[in-house]
Amino acid sequence: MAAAACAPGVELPSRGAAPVAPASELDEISDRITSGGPSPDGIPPVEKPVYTSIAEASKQWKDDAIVDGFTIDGRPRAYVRFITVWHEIVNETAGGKPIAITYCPLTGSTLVFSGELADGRTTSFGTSGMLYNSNLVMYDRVTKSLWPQLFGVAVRGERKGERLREIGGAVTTTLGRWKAKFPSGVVLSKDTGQARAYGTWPYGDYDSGGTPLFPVRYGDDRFQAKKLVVGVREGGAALAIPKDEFAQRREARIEVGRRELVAQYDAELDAVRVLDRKTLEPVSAYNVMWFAWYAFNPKTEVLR
Amino acid sequence: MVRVQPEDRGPSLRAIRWTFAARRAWVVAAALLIGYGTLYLLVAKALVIDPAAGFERFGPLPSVTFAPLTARALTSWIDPAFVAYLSDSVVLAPSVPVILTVLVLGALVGVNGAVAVEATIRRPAGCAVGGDTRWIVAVLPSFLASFSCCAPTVLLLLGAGAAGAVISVIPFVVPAAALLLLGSLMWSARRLERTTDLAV
Repeated sequence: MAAAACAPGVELPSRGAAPVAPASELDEISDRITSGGPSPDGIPPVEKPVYTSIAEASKQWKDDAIVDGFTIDGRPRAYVRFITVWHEIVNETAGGKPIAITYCPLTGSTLVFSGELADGRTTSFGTSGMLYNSNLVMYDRVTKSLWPQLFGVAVRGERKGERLREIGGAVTTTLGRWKAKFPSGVVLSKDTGQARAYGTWPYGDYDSGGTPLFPVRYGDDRFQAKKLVVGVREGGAALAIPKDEFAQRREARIEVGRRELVAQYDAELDAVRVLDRKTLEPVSAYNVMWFAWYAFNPKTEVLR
Repeated sequence: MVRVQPEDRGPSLRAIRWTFAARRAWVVAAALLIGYGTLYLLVAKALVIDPAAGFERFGPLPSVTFAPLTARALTSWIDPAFVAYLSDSVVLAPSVPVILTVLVLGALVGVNGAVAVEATIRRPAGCAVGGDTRWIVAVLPSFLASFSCCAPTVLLLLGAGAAGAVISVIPFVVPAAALLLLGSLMWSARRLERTTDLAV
């Protein structure tokens, strides 16, 4: 079970209204943001995503291609990482409202955010070209505030202290597994309007081991740095579920930040989903490299 | 025959003309340009060779897609000017700055190399002064320029501690490399002119 404790001086963003962290902590994070090299939108988001049938996508991509799967407006959609690695953000709409499917290659994390700000304005997102804890720092196109992806809270700009709404239900799997489960789904087309060497991986064997590329604030060697865990954060508490180990366990009733949840291993997708135990609605739970999860959540508990 | 020309203090093109009077020099320069360019493109990941890639899945090959011509496309190190899937396992996707860097630095590397080779081979009998190979040192920083493309290779090698330092110097690497190669070429040419009969 995950406790709600936080590290000294680190108050995790909680559900509900802003502010979600002390201003001093936000300033500390803001000060630690570093350049990743590219200029703002130097890694260009996909602004007008086009989709192709899963049958057509299967001609282009092998079954073992990694995808992030997500259901939008009742339709399963898959985002092949051979494409999203070049863009990191896909600006979409769901129910007529903007959402952003965000992927950070340096931390292996895909999170889906609502583009609705607390004041009712809506926005799309861009890549700032900056990093915090080796993690993508997004900016919103309306106020230019900076939002580290794995923090989900603006740390600089007009919306400083505000938390974005995370949308649960996204899973990371392979195209073959996704196709078998959702044969009528659609897949993001490589017709993005931009020329990129799709099908290549610009980060080499970064995912398979070694250390992070950029400095991180907190470190822990319980696991290899790039090991994938499934991160769950609720009510100021954080829980890491080691994905491979959990595949043997299949299901666990957990409580994170006083919220009663159930974690389930989906053997068809080789993915872990986390649901609210009462409503069975999916909560935001995502694959993330251990070093990044710990760097953002140094008081995280680990499901054993 | 040795001729001293103390009055000639400017950069001389005569040594270069003398060098390229020989067909061999053109071959050397072209080989170095191609070799340097290929290596640079590989390091910059603008040229990827991956036997497991399976690019034929994308359709008939070879295929070329050009990027829209914008101001950003002309100046961005990241945005490819075109993407050419050359075979099932080879894709070429250089940005405009990468193309220019390959051409400019590659030409300078080629000329430096050709001057050194010709000076060595065609030096006067009995004269100990031959080709200078210190220009090769100037080639090394030019490879650092490939990291301007956000290729994390060097960062993987150097680790997180060096990442910030590397990124901060990237904008200066290409000009520095070009200046080093130009300086090396001028120094070699002047030295050649002072020690060798450059009559073509």
